[in-house]
Amino acid sequence: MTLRWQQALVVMLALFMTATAGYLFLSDPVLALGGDPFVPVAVAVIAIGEMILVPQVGRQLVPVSTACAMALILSPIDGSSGLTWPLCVLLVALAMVLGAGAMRVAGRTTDLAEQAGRLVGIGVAAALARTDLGNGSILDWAHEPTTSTLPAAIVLILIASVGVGVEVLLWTFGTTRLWRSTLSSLVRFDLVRSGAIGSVMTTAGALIAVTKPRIGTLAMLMFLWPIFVGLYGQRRAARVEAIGRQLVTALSRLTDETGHTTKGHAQRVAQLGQSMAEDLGLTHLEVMTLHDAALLHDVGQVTLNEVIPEGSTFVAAPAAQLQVIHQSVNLAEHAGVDAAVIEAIAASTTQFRQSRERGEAIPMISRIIKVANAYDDLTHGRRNARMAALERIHLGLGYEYDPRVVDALTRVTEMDARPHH
Amino acid sequence: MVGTLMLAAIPLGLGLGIPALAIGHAVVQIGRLEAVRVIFNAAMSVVIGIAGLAIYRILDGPMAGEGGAVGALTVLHVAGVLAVANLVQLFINAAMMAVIIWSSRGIAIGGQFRTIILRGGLTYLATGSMSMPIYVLWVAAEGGPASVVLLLPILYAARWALATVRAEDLTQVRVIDTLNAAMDARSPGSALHATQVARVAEWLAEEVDLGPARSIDLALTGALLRVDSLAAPPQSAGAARAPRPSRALVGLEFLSEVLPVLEHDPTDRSVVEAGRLVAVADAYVEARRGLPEGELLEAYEAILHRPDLDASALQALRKVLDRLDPLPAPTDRGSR
Repeated sequence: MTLRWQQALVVMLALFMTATAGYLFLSDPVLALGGDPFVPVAVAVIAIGEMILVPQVGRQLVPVSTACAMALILSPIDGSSGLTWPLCVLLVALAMVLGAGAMRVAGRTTDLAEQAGRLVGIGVAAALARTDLGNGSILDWAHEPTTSTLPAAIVLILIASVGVGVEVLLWTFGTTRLWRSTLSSLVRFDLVRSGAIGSVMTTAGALIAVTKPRIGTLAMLMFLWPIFVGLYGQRRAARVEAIGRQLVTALSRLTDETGHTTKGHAQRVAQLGQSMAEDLGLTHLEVMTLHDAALLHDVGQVTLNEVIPEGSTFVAAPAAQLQVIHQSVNLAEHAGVDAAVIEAIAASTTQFRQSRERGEAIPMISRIIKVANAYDDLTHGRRNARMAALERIHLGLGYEYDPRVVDALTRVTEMDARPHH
Repeated sequence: MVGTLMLAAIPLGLGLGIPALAIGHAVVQIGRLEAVRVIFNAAMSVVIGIAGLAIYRILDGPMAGEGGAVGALTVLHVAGVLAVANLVQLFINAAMMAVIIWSSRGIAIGGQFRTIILRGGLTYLATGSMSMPIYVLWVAAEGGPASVVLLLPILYAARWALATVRAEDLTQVRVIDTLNAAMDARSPGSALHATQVARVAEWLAEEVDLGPARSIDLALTGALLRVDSLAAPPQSAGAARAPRPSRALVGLEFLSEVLPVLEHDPTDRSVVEAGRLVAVADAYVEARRGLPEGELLEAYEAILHRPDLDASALQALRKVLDRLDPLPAPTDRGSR
């Protein structure tokens, strides 16, 4: 679907929902501004919250909007018994569309699939909380004067967690195919990155609902505030990650700038390795690991007082290769990169025969880096050197290099070598 | 997060529990910090906590159990008075720290007070503000002490968020550490030298009152002063182009103010000033190496008449040395 169509769809949806919600507001005076101010305030905060995004790898969190939506569906509305769960979802949808419209006006994009996933999660939570189970809904029980605060709050937090869990699952289902990753690894990945802000988001909505009968709309301010503190942390964490990325890039360029390797060697190995990894069907997370390991595989050369000609470890003596790898690992450890990256660098000079003859486990990422490094050492990025380089690498097939990886190299470089029309 | 709990204890009528909280926190820290620091932290916590309690009482803030049901107005009243108490706590904390730094390093109290407020004030107030959800859930929602359990995710996330400030500083240190490790592998002792130049440069920057941000930049400059020593020897094949290792650091945003100094950009006046200070720091550390403790003025004398060093920067060094040697122990390692 083109961007123009997406925009048209959002506008049409916004118009439809505004009209529906307007009709509902007018037909139920309790929901109108003169009734419980919590409803219009919540709708406004959800809409504004749609613009407060927390970018993560592969998705975006909208913590303020999500927490407020949870608060809306879990709170009792003064004097109203007619706020059914479909109406709740409609109100949240209206607010989300308003937010998306404002984002479009501001020239920022929204992800419709993510919004839909979030709405489904909120819908599930609303249905759980507000469906009449015969003796009333869970929400009725939670807000009865005889119910203690602690069990009520725990139940509401659990319901909010189910809603957020559904959203995460929908994202992971969609992403497992795209990233070629397992569901559990993606859930773990998401929890590590979003756990802190996610836990506040989930808890805050339920606690707003618990305290709202006592202090009214002020509850929103009291429990949304910690989310803003969390957002501050998230921004800082993003900066920390950015500095980490900048450091990896700087280290990958260091051998170029010191004159130890030919210009762009690490970047070319990373790019070629990435293409080979994708060809071999590695997961997105493995490709990311490979990229960093390839960028850092030669950084140890800067510690050499006697340089390797053209920085080509392919032709270097095994002892020199080991020294470079040892120092690369040492510097990568200082840089604080992931353990998987360090492991990949450490094994990136190991001969393939070690795995056949001694059963040594050589990570596939390391095998790819070894082949990609040899190819770039032989070609230095020149396309016309491809055939000679492949011939040379084939001489070490099964001994130095994994045949499957060399096949991937052949396929990937063949595509690259084709004339462009 | 102990500060948050102490502040929350005040309107709950548990102000006398503040020393208990401080002691509890100290017990947790035993073994992780030096005994002196544990005792110092506990004492600071008690002083600041009791000060907050006093302010709250002076301003007649509402206490739990007084009057009937707690509504929005009472919550706003508590929030306002607690915010004032927290602000006063911040000032007391900054003043005490400034006095301690003045007595140990001789840095002017006013400047140090301003630096502490500017660098950590917002984080301090944000930590204190986390006490309000505790009060609301405990008193207004009648959740009682168990409500703290419900707030654990929020308190944990807030603690994490506020700790990221430190994480950012540590990441920057990690960058320097990585580059120093590379230099050290090429030339053993370089890392120690760089650390010491960074320390002296930061002290000099504070002496001439360059401001907190510039002082940190100067420390970074000192630490990376010899990054160009990573260049490959001239006989290498890559020597067709002149190696410039500092160019690799261009993408590191937090070093954007440092690179011009490392690359000796003569067109920027602030670069020239920073370069002079770092040059003096470098020369002092070099001269100080191998001298026994207490002979720091000999090291100063050794560089005093060097024509390449700036007189005002040397004067700043002299003022620093009159108070204390910035380097903790005689330097017997390191080489060019």
